[in-house]
Amino acid sequence: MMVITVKFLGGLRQEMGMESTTLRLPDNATVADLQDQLRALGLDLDAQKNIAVLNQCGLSQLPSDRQIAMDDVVMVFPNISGGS
Amino acid sequence: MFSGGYLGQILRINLSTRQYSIESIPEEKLRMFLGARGLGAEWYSREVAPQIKPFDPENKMAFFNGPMTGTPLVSTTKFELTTKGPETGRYLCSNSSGNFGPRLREAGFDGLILEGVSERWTAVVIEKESVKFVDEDGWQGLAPMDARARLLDQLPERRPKWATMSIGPAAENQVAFAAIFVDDGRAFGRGGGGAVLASKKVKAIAVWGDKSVPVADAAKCKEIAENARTDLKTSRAKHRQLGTSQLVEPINELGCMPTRNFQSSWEVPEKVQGVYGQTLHDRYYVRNYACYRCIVACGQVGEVKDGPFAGATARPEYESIGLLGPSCGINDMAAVIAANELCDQLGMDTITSGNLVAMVMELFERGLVSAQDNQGLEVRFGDAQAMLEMLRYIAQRRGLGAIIADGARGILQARPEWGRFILHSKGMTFAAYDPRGFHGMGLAYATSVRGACHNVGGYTVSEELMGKKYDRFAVEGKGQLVKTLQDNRAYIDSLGLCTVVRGAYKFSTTPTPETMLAITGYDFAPELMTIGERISNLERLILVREGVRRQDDALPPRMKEAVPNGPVEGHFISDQMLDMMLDEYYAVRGWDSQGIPQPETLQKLGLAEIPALA
Repeated sequence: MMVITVKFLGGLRQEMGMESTTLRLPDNATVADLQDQLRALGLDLDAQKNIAVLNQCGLSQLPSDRQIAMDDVVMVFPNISGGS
Repeated sequence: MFSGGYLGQILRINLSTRQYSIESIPEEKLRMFLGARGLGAEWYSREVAPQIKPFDPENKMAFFNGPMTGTPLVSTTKFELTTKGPETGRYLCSNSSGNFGPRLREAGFDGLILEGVSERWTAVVIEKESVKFVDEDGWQGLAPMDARARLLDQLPERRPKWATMSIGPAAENQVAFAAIFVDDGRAFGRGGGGAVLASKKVKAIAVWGDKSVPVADAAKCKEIAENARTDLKTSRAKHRQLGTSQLVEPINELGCMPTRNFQSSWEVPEKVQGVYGQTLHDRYYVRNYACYRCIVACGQVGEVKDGPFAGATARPEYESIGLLGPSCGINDMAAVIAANELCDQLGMDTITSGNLVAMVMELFERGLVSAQDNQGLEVRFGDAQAMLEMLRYIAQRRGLGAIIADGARGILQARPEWGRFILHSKGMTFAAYDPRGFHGMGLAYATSVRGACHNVGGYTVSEELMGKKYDRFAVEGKGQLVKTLQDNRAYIDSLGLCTVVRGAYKFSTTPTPETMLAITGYDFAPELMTIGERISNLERLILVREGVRRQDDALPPRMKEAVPNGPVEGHFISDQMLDMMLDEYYAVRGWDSQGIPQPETLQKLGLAEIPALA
């Protein structure tokens, strides 16, 4: 079993009511397992409402069978664009 | 062809003769170019010749609405400025929210053209289909909001119904990035449209009318509006909650935050949290700001209640925060609000203002200029009071401000050795995303028709984190990505709709027909992406005849330097990487190796006759 930290950025911090949380994953957990756990937190990752990033790469861009490591860093934030 | 969506006429005002006329727009032109940005580009291709300079009396300005502007749907607020702009010296397209576009439609017009130069400083008043002028020497020196208030004071009736545009003292001093302010809170920010309006001696414009904008199916429009409101309450809830300012944290965490004039792309979180959206909300938030018929109300009005900037009030967006904040070494939201407010009062674009103050700061840091060069003022990273003073210097053309006021192009002419410290493409300065962390954004800046811009150029950030075919540091695939985003944006900018709400109407790369059918009675949906592509190509043709070639689709030298720290440490964009992206981009666009649209591309898009206008 490993524990990884998920950071909530921007407006998601208020929505989730916390800056970060920890997820317990089995040692051989994959990107697909991580996505399932994030969805279980209530995060909408499917309708492009939120963007999840693993070690600076888009989570959805990684192979679903890629193994998660103990020191991986996950960030999730709302999918919005800038203004001026 | 159309049973709604268009009034079919534009108002042309000659400021020299004080004559005005009403002209019709052929339906075929509306079908080909849709409205707003598309109509502006088509008009510019015929009426603004390549040799005309931005402040020449022969330069003209057009303000076009889209078929959605002012209709009873949600957020139908946008209208488009087209002119030759001083920041790039070339074609400028710029869109703004506010009530002016909808009110212009209620006065009876899909567009407004200004030409000539007024003999005296004046304000133009458009009341239904009549035009009058309010000449006063007292217009000069007023802040945009003061000019607006002064003009409204002279319009005794229906005061709340008038919409306005106005400019500030920076425009009067021909600052190359002076903005036009719309009503009390929105602006044509980029490119220097304000300085062009000032060159015509027009301080403000007011408009009012009592017509309804016709729609093909009023009942269906009502249903679509109701569905959009329901959708937006959830889908854009976070926009309402924190606005675009909430991007500060993720963009910094992704290593793309302009920091000390892009010397880095990351700031220590403990420092930069001083300008987080959450900080704006917790310490300074007063209320939300909404544009015409918008329920999202994403604007976050902030007020500083104490400290050295007490009393400052502004509505900082992400871009303004990034460039007036971390890029100037400032991580204090109160200082950013004060700088944003000052830019608004002086009438200057916050993005270019922040970029060029940061450049001055770097010149001081490197010992390349001294206080002696700047009327005794030292401007160092992190010094907020000096930043505010430098903004005044620019607007007043004092000290180094005399050079900075001419924008990147002017600086490069006067002091070419400062070129490596200016972050720009084609003369327009970067938005608040460092392309070394999102290489597609580099291609977007390099190819954006109005110079480095995250909107017209294509906002690649989301796709570069979610697209299946590439990652953010890849160069392969970015040509197709940027083309698609640009064409999508070109048609959205032509609708008269705010891009924030486009999802509620399904205006994606595969749009659904309902909304445009209900508004115009014509099934635009199958053609919208082609219309976007047509507009992109027409705009490129305009740039080509104004001298743009591949060498102008460039990034500044700093992009070749490796980021020194943070999450994207070591990343850069070399000439070879940009070349690879450009090759792919030109190929998918059907342009030759110099970036000139090929005859068969123009034929396909119905633009074959346009080059003859050169």
